[in-house]
Amino acid sequence: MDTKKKTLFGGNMRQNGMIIALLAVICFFGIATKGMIFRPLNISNIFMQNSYLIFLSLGMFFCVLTGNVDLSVGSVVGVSGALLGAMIVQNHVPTWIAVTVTLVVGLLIGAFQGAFIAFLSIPPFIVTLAGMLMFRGLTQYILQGQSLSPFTNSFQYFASGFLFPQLKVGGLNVICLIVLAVASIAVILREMSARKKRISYGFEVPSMGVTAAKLAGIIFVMGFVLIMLAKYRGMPFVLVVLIIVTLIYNFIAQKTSVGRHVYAVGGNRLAAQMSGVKTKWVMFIVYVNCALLATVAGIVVTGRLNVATAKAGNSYELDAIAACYIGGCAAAGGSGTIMGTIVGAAIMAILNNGMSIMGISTDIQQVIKGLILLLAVTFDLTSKSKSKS
Amino acid sequence: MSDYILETKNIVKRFGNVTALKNISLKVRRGEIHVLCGENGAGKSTLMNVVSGVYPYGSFEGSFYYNGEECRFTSTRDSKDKNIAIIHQHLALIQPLSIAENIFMGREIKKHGVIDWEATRSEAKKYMEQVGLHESPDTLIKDIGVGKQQLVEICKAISCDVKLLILDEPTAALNETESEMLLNLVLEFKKQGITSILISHKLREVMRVCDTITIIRDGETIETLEKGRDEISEERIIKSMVGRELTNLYPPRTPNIGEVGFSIKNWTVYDPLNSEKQKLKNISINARKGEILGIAGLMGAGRTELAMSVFGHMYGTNITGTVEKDGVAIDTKTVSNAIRHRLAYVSEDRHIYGFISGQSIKNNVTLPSLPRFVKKGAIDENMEIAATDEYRRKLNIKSVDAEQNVSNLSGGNQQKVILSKWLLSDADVFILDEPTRGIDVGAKYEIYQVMNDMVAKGKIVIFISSDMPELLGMCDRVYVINDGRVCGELNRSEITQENIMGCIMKNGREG
Amino acid sequence: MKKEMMRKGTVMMAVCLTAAAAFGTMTASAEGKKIGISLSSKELARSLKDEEYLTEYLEELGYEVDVQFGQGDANIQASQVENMIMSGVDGLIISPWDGSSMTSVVQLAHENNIPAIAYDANILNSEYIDYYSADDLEEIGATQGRYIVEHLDLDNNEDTFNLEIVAGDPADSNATYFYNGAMEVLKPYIEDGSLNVPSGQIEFSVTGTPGWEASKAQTRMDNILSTYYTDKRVDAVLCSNDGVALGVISSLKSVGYGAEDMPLPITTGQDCDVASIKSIIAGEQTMTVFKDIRELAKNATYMIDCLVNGEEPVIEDYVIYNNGVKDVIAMVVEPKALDINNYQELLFDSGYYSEDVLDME
Repeated sequence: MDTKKKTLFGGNMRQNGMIIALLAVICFFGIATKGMIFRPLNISNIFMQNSYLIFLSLGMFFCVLTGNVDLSVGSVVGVSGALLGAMIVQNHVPTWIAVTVTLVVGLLIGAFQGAFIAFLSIPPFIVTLAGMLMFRGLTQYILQGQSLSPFTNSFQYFASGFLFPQLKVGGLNVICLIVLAVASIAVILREMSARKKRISYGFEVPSMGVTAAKLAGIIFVMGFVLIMLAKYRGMPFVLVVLIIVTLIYNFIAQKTSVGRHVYAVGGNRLAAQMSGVKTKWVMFIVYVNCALLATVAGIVVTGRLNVATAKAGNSYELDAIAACYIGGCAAAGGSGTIMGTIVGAAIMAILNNGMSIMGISTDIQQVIKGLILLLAVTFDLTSKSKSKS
Repeated sequence: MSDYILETKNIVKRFGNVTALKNISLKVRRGEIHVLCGENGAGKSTLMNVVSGVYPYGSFEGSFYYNGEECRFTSTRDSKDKNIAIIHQHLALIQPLSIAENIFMGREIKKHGVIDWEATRSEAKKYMEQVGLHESPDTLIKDIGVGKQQLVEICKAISCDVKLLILDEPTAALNETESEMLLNLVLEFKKQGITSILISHKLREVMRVCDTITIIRDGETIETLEKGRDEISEERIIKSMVGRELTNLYPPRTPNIGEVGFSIKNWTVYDPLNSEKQKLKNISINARKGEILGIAGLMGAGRTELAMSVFGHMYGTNITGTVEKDGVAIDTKTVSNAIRHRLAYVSEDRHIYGFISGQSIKNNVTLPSLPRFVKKGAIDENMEIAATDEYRRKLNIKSVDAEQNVSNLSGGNQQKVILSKWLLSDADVFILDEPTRGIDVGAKYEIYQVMNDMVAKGKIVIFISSDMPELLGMCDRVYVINDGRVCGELNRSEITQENIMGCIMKNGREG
Repeated sequence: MKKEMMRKGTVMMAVCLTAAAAFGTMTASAEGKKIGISLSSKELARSLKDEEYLTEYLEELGYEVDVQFGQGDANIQASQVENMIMSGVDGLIISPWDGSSMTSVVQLAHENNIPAIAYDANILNSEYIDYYSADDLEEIGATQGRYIVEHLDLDNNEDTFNLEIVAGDPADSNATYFYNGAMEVLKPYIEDGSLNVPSGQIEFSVTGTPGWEASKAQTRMDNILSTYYTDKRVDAVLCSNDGVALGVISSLKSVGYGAEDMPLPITTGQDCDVASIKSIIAGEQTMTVFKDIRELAKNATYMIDCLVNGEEPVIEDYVIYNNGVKDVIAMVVEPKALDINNYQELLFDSGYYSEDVLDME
């Protein structure tokens, strides 16, 4: 996934630490629930339940990268749900129009907040705090205290549908198997071509054995997940969207000028400006993007629940921020990766799922999540200060 | 009691490998105005920091005596207790608080444990009148000018019953009238028996008020001149200040200078914090291809402001004038425009404007040139690493690999990363602002070598430096800037420290 | 047990009071008098109905009304009530967001000789509250429980049925009453084995839904279904209100319930949210508890009118709630189970909802 790494455990030690933490959490709950979290239906559920969190975290990631946060995303989830309810449930607007309008509203919300942040230099914390209040209020205004339901099937499909669930061979969904095959080949080819390129530039490459072990690990994980999904109803539609969106944002963060510019602004805004980075536009785009992804999350949440409620998205911003920090983003900005953030979100997801299955009461669940966040950031900072000295 | 209020004996102060003070001996008589002269970096401020306890006893060698008693200060508090007050170049006032609050900061006048505002105001008013500061004590510091802020600092000092007042470049930021007033105040204090030590570059001013002048160079006292006993003239002072042997610290180069490739015309810029104040006044300079053009001047003369206002209008408001490259006017209103016109600026403050800490050498080096590394919409990281490695080798950047975090490099290597960045951006005009500040001798030489390579390729290097020997050793031509004006242009044969200081002094007299 | 005793006690008192009711009057002058109505939050659908009916009935009697919503924040609500007292209202109807944070403002009202009653949620730890217009909270839970018992026909059936419980917000004291009321009915059946809870999640603390958030109910139900129902079917889900019921139904449908061969289980609710009425009509949610807000508002109007005019209200149907300091007489509205068979009569024929609300379908 990350061509920068020279060895399996070299390079970004912090991120590997997080992957190990994720595996530890999975193992713990695997044992504690007697393997129940590995059931096909539950694997499928984990993705469906937490897709919103990943969309939000992808948007939040860039805000955190600039050293800021966006507090308004939870309310934007709420307001997009309310808009969808008003359009689809109350006024029978065709689904695709309603979704398009909601996404456009997301862009406008982002542009509104982004303009204050980038061009009027109002601190993002304040602007998005104001946004959090305004959009929560608008949600309530639109819904007038009602919960709006039911949504059309086509709308629900986005969040809770599966790709060709009936297409099964020997009890396994064909789509999943195809995805597994294609993904495995893609991962192998990519790794090989990256390796070849490095060799052509005369750079060091890890030994063939290490590369093979790494590939085997990745393919094993993908295989496990996809076979489990195949045993149930197959590929959730939202998972396909999620994977595509994640790959796009990973590409943007790692491989494009825009992504590099966000890292630069987060690392040292003035130095970035002095190197020709249009820092104001970078801030603007980051907040537009965050609001856009928050509306996508709003669509997913509303579609899956099949109800638009005034409380939807309440305090989701904190989950997304926590996912970024757990995933290794520095609170001061300038460092972190998309994949780390996904791992952070995955840790949150497994925690939520595992604790819920174990029937731990919700108050204790919050205590545990708080502790995990604290431990993750403490681990991050102490390991950083150790590597410096 | 001794005649001397302050006496230092053989003070030596080292910062790592750099010796800032070697064997300084200074004698200040009670009740006089004693002036310290010397180039930037000669050690004046360091010496005063020793005396005021900023550097605690034990962190330097030698000893100093106050009223004949040896002092072993552990903090500035100890020097305050002895009624020594120091007013730094960078004022230590709290901007959003009032004048009265600042005067009594840390020594608030209290009644029953709460601040007695009436007493605070009336006391403050008393001191303010004494120094001729006609403002309300409730006025906020941020609402008054630098000159008046200086007076607030002095109020603070006299409110502590100061006996020895040390002023570090007090007039650097002041205009003519304000300077005049301040110096008169120092004369007034002398009548009241307060001893003052004045650090200043403005020789004309100090000659008027001084009783004794001590000249420091390279951390050593060169000579002490007394009014009445010795003949005091600018020429003599300058000679003592700069009279240092030049060693072969600079790589040789055969100049190959072409036509004018870059010029700035009628450049006028106003202070962004005070839009009334002209910071740069109608500056016109030009640079030729293959030339290292020096910009000399004292701190605060406007050299950095000139560079930053040209490069993307990063400094100043109300900027007028034109920038021309190859005879064509270019727009440098934004940094991206300046970069597009192949300008490069290396800031004097590399931590703030230079590199992006916490990120790799590679990401720093390629930042302004990223579009060149994008292939089919994606950055080709291997190409980036190859390019970075090339400069790591060329500039001898001591590092593990292109992915190393710049924060873990030494100052000299960080500066080389920044130079690599602009070399890679393929700039034609390099504006280097104090590129060798805080860098050890070896790395300096390598940076000079890079500059020579640049001009050998027909590029233009505009070299801003406060280190005069460096300008002498490197430049083909030097503009001298003082108080926001070009006050002299010296060709290679004319570049001497005496001439540079002469231009500054002459301008000071005329201005 | 203690609760039980109290209920019996109240029946006797009720008889006495019924006699007194005959002599009660509601004719004192209301001209120029103002009633302050403090409701907890505009976020709740029902709050708008509370506002509508309280205003209507009080204005019929000639009162002026000042309605304010506390934005779901006890502090804001307390300040609003203080401001009402300062502005000189003659009586207060308070529906507290947080029952324990109104003590001092109620005392302030008392000191200003302004009578105050609690509405829909009790005001705790105050000796200055005498009357409370309320739903019978435990009875609501009991209605849900009885519906499940009757419709699974547990008393005449030897089979074992699978039940899951999705309770309300653990931070909301009402949620405890709903849960207790329902469990009082269901407990015996769980104990004798005719109801089985495969997840084992029976205690209130583990069945709660923080903030009554439907999405949280959905997630919890997902996890239960994926873990404990791989080879079973759920027959009934006790849902404390309509919001969580919709979350539960979304979860059930996502694993295939609602198909021809896999019908949805019995799901309960309360509040008669429009979304749930639609769901009941569509054959998804099974029942909801109808609490007639008109009755609640009428009761409140009657009591405050009496108190403003210096009379003691005469109450037939009541329950005693102890607020921590004293017993408060709650004039209660009897909850009714509403399902596909009687929704038309209870909601639309009675004019509680106009049938337009369904047209939005």
